[in-house]
Amino acid sequence: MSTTSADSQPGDGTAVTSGSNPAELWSLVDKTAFRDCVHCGACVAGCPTFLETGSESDGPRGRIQLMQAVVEEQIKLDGAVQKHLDLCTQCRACEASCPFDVKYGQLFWTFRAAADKAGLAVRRTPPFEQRLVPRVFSRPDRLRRWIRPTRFAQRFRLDRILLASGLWRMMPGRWGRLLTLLPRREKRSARLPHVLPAKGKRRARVALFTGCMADALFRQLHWETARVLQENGCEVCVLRSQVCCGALHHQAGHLAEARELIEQNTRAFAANDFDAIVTNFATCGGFLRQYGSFDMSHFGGKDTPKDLEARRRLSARTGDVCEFLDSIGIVPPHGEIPVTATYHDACQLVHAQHVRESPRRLLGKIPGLTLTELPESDVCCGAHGLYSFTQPEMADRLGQRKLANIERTNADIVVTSDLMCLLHISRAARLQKRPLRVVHPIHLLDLSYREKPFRP
Amino acid sequence: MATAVLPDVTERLRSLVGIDGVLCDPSDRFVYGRDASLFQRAEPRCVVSPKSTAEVQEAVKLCIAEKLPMVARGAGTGRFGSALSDGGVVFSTARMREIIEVNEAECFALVQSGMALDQLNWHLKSSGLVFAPDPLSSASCTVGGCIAANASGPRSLKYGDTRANLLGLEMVTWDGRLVRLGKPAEDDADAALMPQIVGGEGRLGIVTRAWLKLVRPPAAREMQVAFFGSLREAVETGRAVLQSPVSVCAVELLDRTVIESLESMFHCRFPKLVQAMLLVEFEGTAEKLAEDSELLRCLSKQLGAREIRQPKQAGDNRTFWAWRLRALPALCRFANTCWLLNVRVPVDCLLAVATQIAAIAEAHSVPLAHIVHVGDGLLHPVLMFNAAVPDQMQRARTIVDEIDSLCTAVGASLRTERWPGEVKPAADRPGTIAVESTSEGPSN
Repeated sequence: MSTTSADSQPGDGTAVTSGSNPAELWSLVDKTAFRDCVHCGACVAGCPTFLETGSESDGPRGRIQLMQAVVEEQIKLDGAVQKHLDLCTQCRACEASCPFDVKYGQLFWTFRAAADKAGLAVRRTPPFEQRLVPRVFSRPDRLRRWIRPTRFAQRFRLDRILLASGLWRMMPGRWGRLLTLLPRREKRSARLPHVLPAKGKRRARVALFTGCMADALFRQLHWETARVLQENGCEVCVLRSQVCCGALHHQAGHLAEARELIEQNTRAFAANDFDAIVTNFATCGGFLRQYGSFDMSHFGGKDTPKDLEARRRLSARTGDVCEFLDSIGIVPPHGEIPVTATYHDACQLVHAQHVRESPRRLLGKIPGLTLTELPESDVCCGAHGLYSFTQPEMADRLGQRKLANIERTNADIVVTSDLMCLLHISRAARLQKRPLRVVHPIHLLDLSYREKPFRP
Repeated sequence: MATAVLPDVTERLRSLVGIDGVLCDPSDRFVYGRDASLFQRAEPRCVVSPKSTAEVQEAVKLCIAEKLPMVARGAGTGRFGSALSDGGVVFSTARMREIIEVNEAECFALVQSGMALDQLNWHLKSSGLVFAPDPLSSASCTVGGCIAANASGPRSLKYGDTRANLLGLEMVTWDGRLVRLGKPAEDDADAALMPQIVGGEGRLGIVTRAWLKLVRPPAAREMQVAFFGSLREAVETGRAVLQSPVSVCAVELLDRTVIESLESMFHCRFPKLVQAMLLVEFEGTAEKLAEDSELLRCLSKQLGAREIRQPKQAGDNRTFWAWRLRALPALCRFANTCWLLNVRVPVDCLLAVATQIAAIAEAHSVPLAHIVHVGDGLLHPVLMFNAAVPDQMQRARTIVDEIDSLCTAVGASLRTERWPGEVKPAADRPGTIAVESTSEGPSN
């Protein structure tokens, strides 16, 4: 067990205020939230890391107790405590199962922000988190440029050689991971136009959120989403002024950058001439929906009631594409897709946005498709945001667990609504040399609408 | 403050159960020193999480040789501190969560004791069978914990407690022997020991595997909620329902304090000025349900119900169950400490005991709420106060003492956690002030 000294300097080099007043130090943390937790343990069995390690300290109740003990100065924030906290995947399954409505996510973030600020946290910030996220991941154009070498490798099948031989493990830093994570090259496609008209009578006007990595890696899916929405009588607008949602920055602790992005998006979506903001990837949607609950002073900025109101409005109008389509009722698709599929609940959809049934209902409407239930479908696959880079070992264990559960269903394909899950589960399968297609529900819907065959 | 076990003992334990299977870091010992109880705090020397019966036995033998006291822990959802040990070794079943066999023809399942109830029932879903005990902590609580606490829940009225649903078990006793009882033994000599183990709070040993009876519940369940102007009417209606031909599976009662808390938390739009609310769940075929529903309605009306509600959509009982599940969370919003007691009473004197308990609390001016399983005569008085204020804590303790003597007088039994600051060493297991073998509880 690592026992790093609590006094070592954090990555960002903020001054350590040793001996500062603890009350001031933890003023960010809402202590009443600790009191809300009565330690009943209802959350324990749903926590992915607890399921893997079997240690209470790696479960939500244990983490809350540890954070509380640190804030109340009963124990020191040493390497071991830090390790338990860092291992959290942020899937928020515990929040969904808490009868007492303890806001674990909020608690965790404020605690981490306070610890970072005081220089108490011993966080191993890999270069990935530190540099790549703000500079590259959030800009689709830059990301596209950066991954060009791996695309080149893919074209000449170099990646398969690296993968098959296991040589990718020899690559420096996390580059090997990044290479194995990247999806197959998709056909180059044009940028989405500003407005895509509705087919038939217009039932709604929606804004499509395109995001950062999503736009760089899965632009096809944006087209598919737009087509499915059009098919169902929605006019789709794609705002040029929108930017990355900031979820990855937030996760990596780059709060100032996150704040900037949040403010830009709030301005971009302030217009009132559409009925909903539709997201197709759960990570973006989940984070946009949190905008309204943020306090910008935690992000090192200032908050006016007007800004807060604008953010709340944005959050309230944001919805996942499946949820939105299910709520307006879809035109039944005709094309047959004869596959057996199973659905994996993305944490950011099922726990953060409470969307469980609508994707399943939509899939159920596709002729020929058989949907089988996945055991532990709502247990995190270890993909969330940058988790697979910061905690590669646990991410892989959770990925294997997911894969084993998928195996039990005998399904041909896995359907899931988040980009990170998509990449992570595909990677896990690739490394096991198992042919497994992981797709987004909208991809299947689009194929069915266009009566195109599905190639597993 | 207990110290960690000696490094060489840790190493030997690790060689038995694996590196991840032994936790003795200060943070781990801190976390494992708490469970769902309010006041119990302890610090074990280390935590051992074996994966198989053989590993359990080896580790137990080692602990005996080292003279280390031992305690078993499931999910740590018990309210009586029975999973805690000060200075001992905690045996966690968290890594023993395998389903070994499901026999649909003979309706039984063989599982490891760390299996969580909800997870087990999820896996059984396709077969239409369930393991019936339904303590409210079923999301996390383990089979082993249910056995140790003989857990029951609202539907135990019909399906019985854990003991009634247990065919056999395998356990490692604290003196290191491997014992099999019931089904696997095919020998009734040891069967007499079963009651000592089921509901025995893990005094004799740690259960490693269990043969569980599975049942096939009827297709549909329906629910009805009635509001009453007095506790008496509600309890009497509850008893009348039990004697009627309606095939009830749960009868639960919430008193005025709970109703008001729920109302102000979740805006449930309850009728005004009611004193009690009775939730009745019944099951059967569609025709039988319609018939029962009508019968129940007449019965409740006759006995003074102010208002009767049924789910808007037939069979959608979630809202009503949510009220019951959220009773305690709602109370917790209005008090710093909610001390939940378990009082098991003969159904005949349920009302009398409930009223007297309320009177005791009133005399000491501490707010008290009642959550009652009318069906099997289990009363949960909830004291609402602030444990951080010494005077209030003192008053709460006096109340619990008085309730205890009341229970002794009327032949009821009280079960709750012991006072804070009186944690005994692990050799004498931390327990309860009075343990009755048919105790219920959100269990480990």
